[in-house]
Amino acid sequence: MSADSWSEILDQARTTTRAGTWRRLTRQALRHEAREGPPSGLQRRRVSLLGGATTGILEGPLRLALLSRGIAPDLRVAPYDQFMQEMIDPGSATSGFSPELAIVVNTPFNIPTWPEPGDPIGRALELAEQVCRHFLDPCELLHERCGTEVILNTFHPFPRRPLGNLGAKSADGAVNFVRRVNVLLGDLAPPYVHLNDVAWLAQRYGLDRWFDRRLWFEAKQPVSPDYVPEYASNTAAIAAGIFGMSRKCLVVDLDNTLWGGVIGDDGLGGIRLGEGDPIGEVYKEIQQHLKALRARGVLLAVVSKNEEATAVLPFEKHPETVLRPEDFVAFRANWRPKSDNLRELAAELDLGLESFVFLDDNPVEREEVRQALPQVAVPELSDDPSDFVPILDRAAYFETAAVTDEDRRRSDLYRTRSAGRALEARATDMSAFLASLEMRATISPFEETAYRRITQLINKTNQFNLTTRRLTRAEVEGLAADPAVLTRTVRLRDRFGDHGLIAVLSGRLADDVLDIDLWLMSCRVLKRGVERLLLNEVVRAAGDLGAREIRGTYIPSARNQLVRDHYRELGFSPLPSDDGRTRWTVAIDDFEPFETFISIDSTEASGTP
Amino acid sequence: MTEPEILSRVQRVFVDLFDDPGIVLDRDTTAADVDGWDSLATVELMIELEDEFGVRFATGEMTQMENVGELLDRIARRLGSGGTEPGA
Repeated sequence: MSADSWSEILDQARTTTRAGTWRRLTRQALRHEAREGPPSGLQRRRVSLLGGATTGILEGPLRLALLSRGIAPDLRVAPYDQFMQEMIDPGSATSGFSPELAIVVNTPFNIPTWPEPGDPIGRALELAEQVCRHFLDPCELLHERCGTEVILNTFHPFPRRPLGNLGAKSADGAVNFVRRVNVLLGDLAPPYVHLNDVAWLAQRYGLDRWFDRRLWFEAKQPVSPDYVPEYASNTAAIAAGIFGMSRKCLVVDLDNTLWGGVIGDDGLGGIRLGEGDPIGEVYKEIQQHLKALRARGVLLAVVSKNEEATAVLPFEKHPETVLRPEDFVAFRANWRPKSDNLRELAAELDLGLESFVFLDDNPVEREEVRQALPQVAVPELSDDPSDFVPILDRAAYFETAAVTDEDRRRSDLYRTRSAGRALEARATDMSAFLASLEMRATISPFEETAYRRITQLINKTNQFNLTTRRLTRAEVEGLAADPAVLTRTVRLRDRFGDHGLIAVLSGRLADDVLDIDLWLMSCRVLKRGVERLLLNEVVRAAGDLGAREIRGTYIPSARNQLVRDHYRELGFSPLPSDDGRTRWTVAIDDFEPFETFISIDSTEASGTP
Repeated sequence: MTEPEILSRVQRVFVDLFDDPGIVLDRDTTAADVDGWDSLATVELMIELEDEFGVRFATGEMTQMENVGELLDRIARRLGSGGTEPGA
């Protein structure tokens, strides 16, 4: 893996967590910076790296992590174990440098005093406060002298247990003393001291993995090489928060992102949300997490491919919903590209695109946004929704130095401000995006092996369904066997994977007219050109069978407004119709095949209808 | 794995770490012969070599090695004995 430009290097640094890759990127970044200088457009900041541990191994990774968060550091590294002198002494190199940010790296072995065996809890508390002062006082001096903001870490757990499990209830033991110091550090830290919560990180990954004893004895490394990227990224996220560069708005998709299932197809009773069902509980937790983010000042917004009235329903009516319509500063349910919606949201909320994070379970939507709007952070999700919260958590997009009353009220503020603001739509380059998906389709008549899937799709698809005709498996088999009926299915693959069978069409041939009375598609592949591809194929096959005209019908239902103009958009003309249905026609001689961005892997059995 | 195979993979790690395609190692090469091979680089080498060969060095082992020859012997011994136990 090689990266030749800053944007490639920084993109990879933002997405990889593999330590080996990170080390390689760190070296590439150092060489690249030596040749080209730092990337342009970043905030330049004077940063000191100090510690009671060896900091050399952190320098490169920290520089890379800061760059990837938009900070170009002028980074100075103080000599080993000199953090006290460097911060206290007005004549020190660090004081002379006058850093805007000081990063101080320590481990429990830098704690200068410990309780003696038999010390009562009162003594342990007194000592813990002394220890905190030992670390906080130098920060105060440096801050008063230079205005420096300081990132201090909490301590990873003490790695030995001479008292065994008794240590958990012994005030004089080292294990509890480290815990006590960590909590007290948080209580006593002034606003300009920010805590890098190493105690939490070490527990997340496990102390034996976080802390490499060999490298401590050998070279006083504060953290195992495998977790240096995590240490550096977490520190850089805090720095971004200090310098006001954290993200502010979380934009979420709905179906399979905030609940299990598709509201348009499954309905209020069919989506999975709430207790008693593992998937429902996962989504409830996701909603609880978002609610907590909102409470600390993160703006929430919805961008979903849905009908608005349907999309808002779960937040209004679902008995287990945690989020309510008023928790969102904007709610955009429509069928336009998500990048367009995000761009308009940015204008509406008066925020830069670099303030946004976009959460969507669908890899194609994520890619569309990444390509169109590289400034927006789009976390890569797994196919297990229980990973969504930890992934969001680890990315640390929303670090802030403090949560103020204004933060807590921010959502309400924005809701008022954005109401009524005029919107401006802009087209993104849709063709380039579709081409980049490398879509490949297989079109075939109804085949025996697919009867089950065809029947399932016919009976559960509500939104992209022109006639909402429901059929049994026997009826599906009947259509397949009828020589006067043309049937087609489409399977679609793209570079994100195989979507399987996603479109079903059937039409009856009478005289020289093919009348399409069944056309439905999975919403997963909406706006990808599948309907155009399928029509091209149907016109060709119908022509081969002697047809001269294609007709189609739209029967409105409660859920299929999405395809109201389906035939019009495909170039059909309206025919007279009654009882709310619309009827459409196109002459085969007048039909010009559509350009699509899908290559056809195979079109089978074109000789038979 | 034969010694020449080990040597060639070790050499690749050195070339990448020190960003110097001209590095040629033999059994007698010492830290003094490679530009930039200081104590920090020794730790970085240890990390990269453990990653490359899937072995684990014992505390102090890496810093005590006299030359590349000794490094090759220790890697070979660890590869032969299943990796993580200290050598004889």
